[in-house]
Amino acid sequence: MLKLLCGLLLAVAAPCALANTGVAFVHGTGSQTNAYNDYWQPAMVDSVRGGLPNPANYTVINCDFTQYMWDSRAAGCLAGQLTTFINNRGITRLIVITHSNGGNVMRWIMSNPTWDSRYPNIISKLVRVNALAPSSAGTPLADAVMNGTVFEAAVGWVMGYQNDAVRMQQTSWMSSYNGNWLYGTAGRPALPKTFRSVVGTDVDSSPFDSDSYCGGYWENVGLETTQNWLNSCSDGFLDCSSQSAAGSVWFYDTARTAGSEPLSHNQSRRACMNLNTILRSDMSQ
Amino acid sequence: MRMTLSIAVATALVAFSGAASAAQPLLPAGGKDQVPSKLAALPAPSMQVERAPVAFSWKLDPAAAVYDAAPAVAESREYWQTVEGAELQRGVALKLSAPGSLIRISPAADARGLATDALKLQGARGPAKLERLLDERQLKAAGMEVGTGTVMAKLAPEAGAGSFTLSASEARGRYVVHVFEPASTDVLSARIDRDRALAGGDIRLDVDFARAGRKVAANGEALLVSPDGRSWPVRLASSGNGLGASVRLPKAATDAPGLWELQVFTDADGIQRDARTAFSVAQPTARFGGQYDFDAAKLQMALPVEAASAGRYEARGLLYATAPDGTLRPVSQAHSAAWFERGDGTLTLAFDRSHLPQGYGAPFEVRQLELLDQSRLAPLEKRARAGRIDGARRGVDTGGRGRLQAR
Repeated sequence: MLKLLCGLLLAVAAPCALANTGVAFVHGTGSQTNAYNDYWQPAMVDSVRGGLPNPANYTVINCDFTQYMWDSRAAGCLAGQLTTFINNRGITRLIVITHSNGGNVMRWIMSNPTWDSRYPNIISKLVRVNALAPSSAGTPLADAVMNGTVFEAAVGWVMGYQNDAVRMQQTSWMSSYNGNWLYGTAGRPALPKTFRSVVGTDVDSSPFDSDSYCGGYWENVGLETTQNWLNSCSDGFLDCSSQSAAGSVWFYDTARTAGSEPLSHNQSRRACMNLNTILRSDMSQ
Repeated sequence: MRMTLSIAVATALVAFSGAASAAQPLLPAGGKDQVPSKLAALPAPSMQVERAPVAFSWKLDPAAAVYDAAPAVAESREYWQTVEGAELQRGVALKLSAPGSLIRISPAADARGLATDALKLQGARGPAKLERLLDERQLKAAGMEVGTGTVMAKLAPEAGAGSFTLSASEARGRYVVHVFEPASTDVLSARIDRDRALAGGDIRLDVDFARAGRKVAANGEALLVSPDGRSWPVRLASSGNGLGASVRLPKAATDAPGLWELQVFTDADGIQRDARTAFSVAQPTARFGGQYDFDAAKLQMALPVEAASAGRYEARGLLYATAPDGTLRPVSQAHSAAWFERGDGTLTLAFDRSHLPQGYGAPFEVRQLELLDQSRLAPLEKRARAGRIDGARRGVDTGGRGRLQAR
């Protein structure tokens, strides 16, 4: 009866007052065991979840995203933690916030609902994915670090530092995966739920600009150098075209950030330039 | 968007007999379709996969066009080369085509890591001015997953282009030197004609080397590289104004996850460029049986499947319905997957009638029909147009739900 009532209410006001909204934070490439402190940091997570009717309805995902997106340690782990969160907290409306390659892992679940019997329930509870700087079309930086040419066949393959997630985010690889296994890019069928991106357009690393220090000054200095591989519109790790390749663009950073400042790739997962308050406001939508 | 999910009833869907209509042949395969002609009997897949049958469908926006995009063209202003520590101590010659180049040196596993101040770059008029030097920590912080002891230098614009000598007196072991010239007009382009193929099939590679937008003569070679690291040399022949090759893929593909690559290495007047393309190569473990049953009342398409290898197979397809203006538009996407032992079975795409927009109806087409081997991550079969279901189309208004009047 409650569900029926909620359904009727949904027709006139969203979100339904009887719905139980939760938010999940999904990290990017890397193997995380404490993403709350190490990847997102408390200032970001606690600010965003504060926008929920029940701020306790949150989870911070810790999985091994050094693996291919479909791997049981990546999408399988994510599905497990999301399912536990949905079941334990009785979540009926799930908002997922991803950063970088976390968007690809989430898009794997949304694009391949029959891969795993846990996926359909996650998709049915999902309201939307707010994808912060998703690497939907890969990055030339992944191409650069692969060293995977004939000359390096003897060296590159044994160097061992190229994990499968980096390999997967090469531009030519993501083009193939987007064309065969993933949805939401140009010409492909739409995803079953909204996937909208926040696009970082530039990197500020001036020592005289306090904004350069949000997310770490030296990290932003490195991003200015990696921008050489990228187009004029990039966040230092991803071209804007990659960040906007799947789903829809929610907003380009400077359109909504404090002082119209850009969000570098390190800043788009942190409480920088009011990003946290923008996401916080979205929790009640 | 409204979705339909069905795990509990998927078992029944797998066994669906399609009694509502007579079996019809799939439409003839088109030129870009992929259809296995022979099947491969492989050992059980090594990947742990779901065993429960799962079906799922969701509504699509009829106004959003669905089409096959061409495989991306790989463009390169960079190259890589392996050097020994002794060479690096003596000095390695680099020919750069534009100012502002980046040079990265990565040590192999047993090589000595380099400090940023160990790098020396000598130009024709003395030490080249560097704009920036970065170490491993800074590169990793920026998301470049470089190896231990990696260093990178960016030349200042005033250092110009031309011949340089790169050296590092502390070098011991083997290194990869990576040269990237973002401002260069010397660009290698490599394209393949498809991003999926079957083992034993062919793939076409075409390569162009352009200087300031005009194609120039270049020497080149290529390598076919499998996901497990095996490689086969590919000879590039003159093709139009560029280079190209028709590459025959090995019959025995690998079950290692990942994509195959065609790696291209070119040289035009001493300016080197490397590029990589990627595509999947599938062992044909199963195929559609060639016929289908379409239950027009339920909008369900039952597809017989021949499985030569045990595995988890998935059918997916797009339902197109006729819009009020008479055009066919995509309205619903359906997937269905189940575990198959070796032999015949059926997968059923269950489109949902609620996905039909008001005023939409027959004739229908099922397009972008695919069969995938989930347990080997292999796209097996793809048909741009798979089936057409005619029917008398009548004006329908069912309170937002379309109604099919099948003939």
